[in-house]
Amino acid sequence: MRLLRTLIIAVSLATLPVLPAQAANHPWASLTPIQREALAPLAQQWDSLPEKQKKRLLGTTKHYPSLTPVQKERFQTRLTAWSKLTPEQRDRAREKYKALRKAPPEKREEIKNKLAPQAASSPGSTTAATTPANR
Amino acid sequence: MKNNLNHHSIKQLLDKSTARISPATVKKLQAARINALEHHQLHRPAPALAWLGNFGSHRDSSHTSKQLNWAVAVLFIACLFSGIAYWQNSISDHEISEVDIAILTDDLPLHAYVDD
Repeated sequence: MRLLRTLIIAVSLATLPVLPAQAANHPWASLTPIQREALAPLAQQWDSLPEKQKKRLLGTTKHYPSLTPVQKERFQTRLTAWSKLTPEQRDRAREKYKALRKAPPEKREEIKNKLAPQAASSPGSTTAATTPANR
Repeated sequence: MKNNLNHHSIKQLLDKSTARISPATVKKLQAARINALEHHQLHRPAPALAWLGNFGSHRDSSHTSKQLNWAVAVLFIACLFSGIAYWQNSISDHEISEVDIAILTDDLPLHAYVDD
């Protein structure tokens, strides 16, 4: 029992410093080549971004290598506009995406056609590609 | 003489014998029982912590041991909750990143999802 108690103390003490360490900052210099490639449009402002946003953006780069060239282009083109949104706007966009994902393809097509003229004039909102979304 | 003892007869014999015990002895036995029960309650470890501590330790160190058990339990619970919170946060971040990349690569333009 004494051994078990010592073991619990040791594990607990070893775990405590790990948790805040996981929330440590991610300077641009510490990113991997793939992360830098994916997030290249944000290179200048990266170090000033909030840590939470950095963490989520880094999460997106995990899928970057498996994207098609068209999706990679979309990703990079939209990244700057996306990072300029407020956290509330991004949350609403996520909710809207989740709702639209459940919508029938006709509905999506209808929205796509409706937004096409605006998209043509906006560099961060390309609709030119025909490859379907990967998820 | 035939020895024909069964449960019932043993019970009857015990009842008869008990009835013969003097009231003073009964009183003493009762006092001893109460005393023993109180003593037992005092030294019984808290069941929730029983597995954590060395409850078979010496009585003179039982107070310190109990405090240490509490400290270990509190530390363990704190770490457990921190771990659960961190794990849930990681799952949430992972799910959000999945949605984010879907939005950023979707065939619908970004402003389909962003309010004007």
